[in-house]
Parts: sequence; C-alpha cells; structure tokens
Amino acid sequence: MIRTRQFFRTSTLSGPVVAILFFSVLLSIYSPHFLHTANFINISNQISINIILAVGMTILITSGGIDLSVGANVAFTGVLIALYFRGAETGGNPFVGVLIGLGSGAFIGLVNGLLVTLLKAPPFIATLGTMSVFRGLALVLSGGRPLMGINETFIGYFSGFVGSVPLQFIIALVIVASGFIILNHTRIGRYAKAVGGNERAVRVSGLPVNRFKLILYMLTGCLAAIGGMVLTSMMAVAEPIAGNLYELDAVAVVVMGGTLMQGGKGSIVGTLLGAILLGIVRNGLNIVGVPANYQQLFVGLIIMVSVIASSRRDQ
Amino acid sequence: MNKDPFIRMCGISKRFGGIKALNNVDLEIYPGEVLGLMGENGAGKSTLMRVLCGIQDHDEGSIRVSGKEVHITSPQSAQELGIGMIPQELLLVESMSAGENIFLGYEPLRKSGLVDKKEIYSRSSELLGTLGCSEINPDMELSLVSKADQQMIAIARRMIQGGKIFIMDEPTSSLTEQETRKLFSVIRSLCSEGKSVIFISHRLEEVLEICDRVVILRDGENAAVLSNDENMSKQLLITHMIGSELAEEYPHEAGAAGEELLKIDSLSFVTAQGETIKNINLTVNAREVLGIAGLVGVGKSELAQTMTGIRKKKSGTFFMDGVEVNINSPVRASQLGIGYVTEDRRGEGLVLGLKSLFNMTLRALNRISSWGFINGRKEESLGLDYAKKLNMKSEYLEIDAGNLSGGNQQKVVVIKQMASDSKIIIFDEPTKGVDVGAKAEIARLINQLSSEGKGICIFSSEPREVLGISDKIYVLTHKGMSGPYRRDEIDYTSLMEIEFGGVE
Amino acid sequence: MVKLIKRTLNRYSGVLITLVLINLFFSLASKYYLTMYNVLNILDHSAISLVLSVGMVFVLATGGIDLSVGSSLAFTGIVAALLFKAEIFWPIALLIAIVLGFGVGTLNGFIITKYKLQPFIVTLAMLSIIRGLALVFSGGNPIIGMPKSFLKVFAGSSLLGNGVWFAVVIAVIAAFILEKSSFGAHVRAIGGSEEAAFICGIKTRKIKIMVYGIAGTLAAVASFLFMAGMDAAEPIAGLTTEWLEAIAAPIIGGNSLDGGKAFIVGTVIGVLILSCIKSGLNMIGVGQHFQQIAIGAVIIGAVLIDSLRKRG
Repeated sequence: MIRTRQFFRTSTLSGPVVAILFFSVLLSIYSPHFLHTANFINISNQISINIILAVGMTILITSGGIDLSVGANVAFTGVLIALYFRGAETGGNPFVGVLIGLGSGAFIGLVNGLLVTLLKAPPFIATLGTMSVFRGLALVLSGGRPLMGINETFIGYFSGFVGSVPLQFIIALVIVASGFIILNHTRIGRYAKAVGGNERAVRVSGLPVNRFKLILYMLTGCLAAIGGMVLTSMMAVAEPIAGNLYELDAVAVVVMGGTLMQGGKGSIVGTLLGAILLGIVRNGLNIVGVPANYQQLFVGLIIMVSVIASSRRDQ
Repeated sequence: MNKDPFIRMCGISKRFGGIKALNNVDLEIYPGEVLGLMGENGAGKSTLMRVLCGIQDHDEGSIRVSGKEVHITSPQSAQELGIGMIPQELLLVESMSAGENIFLGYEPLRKSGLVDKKEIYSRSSELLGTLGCSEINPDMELSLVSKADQQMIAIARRMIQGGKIFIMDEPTSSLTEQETRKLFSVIRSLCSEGKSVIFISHRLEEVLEICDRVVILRDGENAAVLSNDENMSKQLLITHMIGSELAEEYPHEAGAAGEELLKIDSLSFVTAQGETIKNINLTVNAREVLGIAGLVGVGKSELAQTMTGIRKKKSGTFFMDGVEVNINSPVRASQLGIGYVTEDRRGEGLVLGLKSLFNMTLRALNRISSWGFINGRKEESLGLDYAKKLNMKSEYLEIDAGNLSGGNQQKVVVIKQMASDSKIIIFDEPTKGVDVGAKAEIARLINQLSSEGKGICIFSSEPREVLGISDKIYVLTHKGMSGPYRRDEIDYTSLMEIEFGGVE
Repeated sequence: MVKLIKRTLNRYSGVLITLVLINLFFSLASKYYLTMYNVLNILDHSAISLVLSVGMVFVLATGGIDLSVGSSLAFTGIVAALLFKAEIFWPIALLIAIVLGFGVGTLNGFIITKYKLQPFIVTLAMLSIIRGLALVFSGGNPIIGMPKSFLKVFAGSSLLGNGVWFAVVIAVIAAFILEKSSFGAHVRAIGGSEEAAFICGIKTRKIKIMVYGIAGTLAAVASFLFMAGMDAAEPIAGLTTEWLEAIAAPIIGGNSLDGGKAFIVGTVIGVLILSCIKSGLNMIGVGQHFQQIAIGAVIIGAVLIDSLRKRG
C-alpha cells in the first residue's frame, strides 16, 4: 500500500497510468463499443507506428537531441521502397526492399547527426531543415502521387495478423522491448543518458561524444524507416505526404511518458504508456464524435501540459 | 567605528545540495570604509556577496540596511538599496559596445524616449578618463577590448549604477600595477564621498594597503574581523584564513620516483585572462606526486586543460615514454592514459542525474560489457571494489551523483579515472568544496594512487595542500613557471613569497 | 549618413553579393525573371515574410525562437475573418486579432520563463494548439470574401500592394526600437549575456515575455497582409514554408540562434534572397516540390552560416 502510494507520488509513470485508467472507465461508461476486442485491435493498429517512432525519439531526447524529420523519413522511405519495387523486373526482392528502407533511415539519421555534430547546430533546427528537404525529395521522387505496386511478400513482413493481433503492433512491442534494453542495458544507452545529463562531463572524460550522437541519430532514423515500411505495408501504397506531423505525435508521447525534454532521463515504458494514452484519447474523440479538426489542438495541449508538468516535477 | 553600520548581515546560511556554503555568517559594512573580504577558495566570499546583491537567495538570516530589515530578492531590489557588484567574471555583453555596456540598464534617454547615444559616449569617455583609461573607445565592440580594459569598463558600469555599496570581486587580478594604482585612487575618492567598498582579493599587500577592516571567512563561517591597525600583518591574515591545523592533515609517505611518464617541453598557452604563459617545462614520473601551486586565476586550470587536450596549446611538445605525442582532444588524452579530475565537479566532472555507480564506470564500460551489452553484475562488483578501497559506503553507489556530498562526489570522479586505468591523473583543485575530513581522505587516496605506480599531478591554490601532498613542487605565476622544488626545499612562507612575488 | 551606408554595406556585403548573384543567375536562366511585373511580385510576396521575420528578430535577439508564428498567422486571420463575417466593423476586428496575436505570444513567453522550458518545445506545442484552433474555428475551410475597405487599405489598387509599405514601415520601426530604444538595448543584452543583463537590474523575464508578444502581434499583422493578398483567410496558411522562412531569413541576415544580434537590414536582405529563390525556381519551371527542398536546404545553409560565423 505504501509502495503504491509512493509510486503515485514519485514515479513519472503514475500520470499516464492514472490517465489511461480514467479515460478507459469514462469511455466504457459512455460507449459499449469501447471495451470491444475489435476496438482494441483498432487502437493497437493505430498506435503501432507512433510507438515505433517514439521509441527512437525517447532515446534521442534522453541524449539531449531531438529529430523532427521522422515524419518526412516515413514518407521518403516509403517512396524509395515503392520506386524500387516498381522499377525491379520481377516485382523486386522483399529483402532488398527492407535493406533499402533501413539504408534510407540510416542515411537521413546520418545527415541529421552530421549537422548536429559538425555544425553544432541546435538539433531541432537542423532536423527542421532535413524534414523539409526529405519531404520535398519524397514529393519530387514520387511526382507528388501515391505509388502502388508494393511487393506482396514485403507487405506480409510488416502488416497483417498473427491470430487476432495485428503484426504491426507486435513489431511495435518488439521495438519497445529492444528500445528498453538499448536504453538501460547497453553502452550506447548509458552514453545517451550521460550525454543528455551532462555533455561537457562526458567530453572532458575523453569519450567520443560526436560518435555517440551519430549512432543515436542513425538509430532514430532506422526506427522511423521501419515506421515508414509498416505504414507503406498497411496502406499497400507509398504516399509522399504520409507521416505529416508524426514527429509531433512522437514528441507528445515521449514527454507524456515522463522523459525530460532537457535530456538525461528517459523512460521507454513511459513512452509506451503515453502512446497508449494518446491512442485511447484519439479513439475516444472518434467515439464521442469530435471532429478530426480538434485532434491537432489536443496533441498540442497534451505536449504543453506534459512539459509543464515535467518541469514542475523536476524542480 | 562607532557609527551605526549601513548594512548588517546577520546569521546568513546557505546550502547547495549537501554542502553548507555559508553557516551563520555575520557581516557589517560602515559608511565610508573599505572592507576587505578574505578567505581561501570555497570559503564562501562570493556566495555571501551574491546573497547581498540578490543574485543568490539564502536559507536563513537577515539583512538590515540603515537599521531596517530588507528582503533582497533580485539585483534590481539590491540596486534600489544602493548595493551592486563588480563580479569577478565581469559579466559584460560581448556583442555590445563598451559604452552600451557601461550604461546597460541605466541608458540616458532623450526627450523622445530614445536612448541618447551621444550622451552615452561622452559620459563614458569622461568616466573612463577619470579611471585613467581614456584610451578605451566607448564605441568599440566589447569583444575587441582587452581583458584589463574590460575590468575598467565593469568598474565604470558599477559607478554609473550609483548607490552606496561597491562590491569588487578580485578587481585587480587582470590589472597592471599602474592600473591598480588608479583603481585605488578611485576607491579612495568613493569612500571620501561616504560610499563603502567591499574589496575581495587574494593579494595580501593590496588588502593591507587599501582596506580599513578585514573580514575573514573560513569554510563558510566567520573566522575573524580585524581592523587594519599596527597589529595587522600578512602573517595574521594568513593565520586566520587557514586556521590552526596545518600540514598535519595530509599524511604522506615518500617513495622513490619511478620512470618518466610524461614530459612537457617549452609549452606555451593562453590563459582565460588572455595572457600568454611561455616556456613551461615539466616531467611527470610514475610513483611521484607533482604539485603545481599558484594563485587563483593565474592559469593553473588552463594548463591542466592543455595537458588533457581540452584546451589548445599555443606551442610546445609533449613526450610520453620518450615518444612525441599530440594531445589535441580529451579523447586522445584518454587513449594515452591521461585522466583529468576537474575543478568543476558539478559542471564537468559528473553527470549529476546519473547514479554514482554509472558515473564511476562511464569510462570503463568496455571492461564490463560484451557486444555492447553491459554486464550489470560485473559493473556492480567493479564499483563495490573501488568504493571499498576508497572507504565509500556501498549504498552510495545507488544514489544520484548530484545528491552526494562534495567529498564523496570527488571520490566518484577519482574512481572514474581509476576504473579506466589512467596512467597519469591530473587533479585540478582536488579538495575544493569538500569538508576537512574528506580532504585528508582525498590526500591519502592521492598517495595511494601514487604508490600504485601512477603519475599524479596536482594543481592547487591551497599552499598547504600542495606542500602536504606533493613530492615535487612547481609554482605558476603570471610571469611563468618556477621550480621544481623538492618537498624539503620549500616551506609555506617561501611558497607564498614566490606565489605573490613572481619568479625569483 | 555616408558613414552609416558604408558600415551597412560593409556588414552586409556577403548577403548583398549573394542576392545579386541569385538575381543574375535567374535573369540569365529565364527572360521573364527580371521583368517589372515579376520584380513587383517578388516584393509583394516578401511583405508577409518580412513582417513575420521582423518579429522573429526580436525573439532571436534574446536567444529564443518561436516556431508558432506561422500558426499564429493562420489563427488570427481566421478569427478576423469570422469577425468580418459577423459584420463587426473591420478595424475593430483587426484590433481583436492583434490582441489575440499578442496574447498567444505572451502566453508562449510566460510559459517559457515561468517553467524554464526550452522555447522550441513550448512554441512547437503552441504551433499545434493554435493551428488546431484555426482548423476548429474555420471548420477546416478557407473563409472567402474580405470587406472592400479592408482590401483597399491592405492590398491597395496599384501594382505594388500596400502590404509592401506596411512591411517596410514595420521594419523601420523595429530597427529603430532595436537600435535606439532602451528596450532594444535590453533585448540585445539578454541575448548577449542574460546573467549580465540580470545583474544590471534589467527585468529579463518581462522583456523575454514581451519579445514573444511582439512576434505574436506581428504574426497577426502578417495575417492581414495574407488575407488582403488572397481575399481569404486560410486555416492552413503559413503552414508550409512561411514559418520556416521567418527563421531562415533573419539568420541569413546575420542574426544568430545564440542571440545578442538584431540586424533588421540583414533580415530584409534575407527575406529578399528567399523570395528571389522561390520566384526564380518558379520561373525556370521547377515545381513546388523542389521549393520545399530548397527551403529545407536554405534552413540548413543558414545554420551552416551561423556556425561558420561563430568560429570566426
């Protein structure tokens, strides 16, 4: 009992947990449809990509960085893969498709990382620039049109069902688990926390901070690319305008989950809870019949309230 | 002085985390006096003055101005009471002109409500003229002005702000003898107008010359209040600053020095004050503690940082094991086995939000991980081993480094170096901000490291620390480096003489 | 006066040469580029960007940033248009919109200073919030048909729109404030060294809130120019490139992300460079999609310039 109380007073996870319970109860009272398996499948389907992007974002924000280009990355990667499959003689090799996807993500991450380390540019403005560049490239390469003709086997890698659970949700959970291990049990995760906590101290210790940052941006880029591959598979089409504002959703769930914007402390579990919470709220807004136009307003409010709450907790 | 004090600070206490920076400190300032405020590094002088100026809040105690209790919550409220500071780091705006800096916050306005630039420049010229530095062009951007001139600009700015109390933190550290004279005449004319000056300085002669009274702080507490009369002497000031307990607190076992590890040949580097210090030669040997003494601000930290690749050298060569090496980054220094224990523990020594264990192993993760995965059990036993060796309680390993006391934080930083197998460890002010008990323990630790075969280099502005721990002593002054002196060749007085007097 | 011009030319020689080279390139690439019509067109398009950028200069000068100005433009525009539709006397509608813009800005500043948060994350959240509000209020659709007299004042009837004059006047006033007033000096001082400003008794928090208020107010003014140009208010106005240009133009013009600089003349040149690039790309028949890439590249270029300047 005392431990429970302590958890609610001190843990950063208590906020999202309470909010999830609150909204779930509220929505199940309001609508009988909420507590349906079909609705849960629906929610898990909708939040999968956000979870995938947000795991990378959590690690990056923990290290004191941020990547606003993940949404553009999703679109660019999708377009690149579609172009490969359309151009290949026999419909293409799905493995090669995956490699191209990961390569595209790693490349965008590398560009971001180089801008941040070599130019010492503030991460948000550097990635704002690459966001625009890669979104533009996706539009140019696709001619601004959705591209069909994605390899069926490739689609099977990233979407569909295992039993009644969506495959993309399973992928998301695997990524959550990997993200948790990376952040808490590997060297790069430890370095991410240390750089985010006190970059100068890590530098003075004689550790190659720039190399860590490059790796972290590339990791985030790869995860965003996986998000792009999942989205492309779910839609069976690559949209150059896909993933617009996904970066906002990802940042929102990261701060909701208690990761500090200024770096040093990050929680993958918190991010997962944040994504679930955002998914339920979105679902609830749909059930209640709130127009889609409100969604952006809510995401913004959630980010604002979460960062204010985290700053108060920090003080 | 039988007048009533203009300012009376009473029972001021301030804690930073686990450390008591000020403990029940009293201070009185009378109209028209120059009050010297002295004490060793970390004695609490700056913190006390920051409290008085509203830059820092305090936990306990009261401040009375002209007998009335006041609450100074911001620099504005301090300035309304006539109190203002010329901080040691000057705090000028580099991107603005000298004149704009002098009038910052006090811009003269024309009738139209716009800033009267002509007035700024004419009054700045006039003021700088009375300060004896009419050669400073008030229109010049500050980043082009020399450090010494910037000091005069900061003083001019404080004079424009007006008021009764002028606090000067180490104002002469970057001034020449002649400029110091001019400053003193300004101080005297301020006092003749009934204003008071608080003069913080490490330079004993200057304090003896200009101050009417001297307040001495030690370890955040009042140590003495002395009036500058016939009984006053340098020795008296020093005795009160350092207290009774002398070198005894540093146990030392001398041993034979081992092989040469690092040799520095005719190194020159630039200090934060912009001075170039030339011709540094020194050798770090295994099983030997090298002490580098010098006053605050003379460039010791800069030298330490040049030796560890954090600052760029101007010229000179490093040799390790007889081979020339290029130490151009901390990463390179670390590869060569040179570790650095910084003076600024909280700013660049520790990741405060990370638990102590993780700070300790930060540089040694390659030893306790495979394929990038950290072996938690190995990590813990590594941490426990070192904690035991250094008399650190094992439960501290799980506490965030930011919540430890200064002494324990220093142990964590030292363990970080030990765990990564540094051959040479460079300590900058190793016992700054740690309490007396922990000081002795850190000294013991340094000896232990040395007897294990490491080469140790200590940069310190506490003479008794250098004298107590080192086998060989160099003294850095703004004129250059002198030494080495063997430990039995030099004593407290002669060390002080070299520090204050420059190279013999 | 001669000295002032000399100093200006000296300080901005780099960007001025860039501007000339860009114009040279495009006038060689397309014969339609250097026509009276297109030049006026470029100036017209620069007006909105300039008004937003001038607001950003204040924020940048303190070392902050405001990502929400594009959304503020959309939001205040929608509100003004709705008030027009409600038959409220249009100057009063504009006044309300300006107050609203100022309010959004000061709210940014308040949250940033009160909770000691990074400006980019607060204004990013605000971007989303007020964009959402703009969508909600408008139902996601543009509001068409502005009052005649409003159009007459803000669009004008000659070829060169009145918007350009508004923008120029605002830029001049801003330059005056930043260079000549004590407020301007304090703004620059905070960006140069907040601690120095603080110990000189400057009310740093109040001034930081004010600069975001100015950015918000100017976003509202920019929305008037936008509405007058389009004869409509758009909930998605300022979404694609305008807000990015408002950050890029000041930095191209010599202002720094680190603060302490406040160059309005440079910002004007920065805005012109961006407008010329956009127009030129149009003229040589490069599609809109390429422009998105170009804007991103310009942002990265601006950051590159900033970083090179810092290294000296």
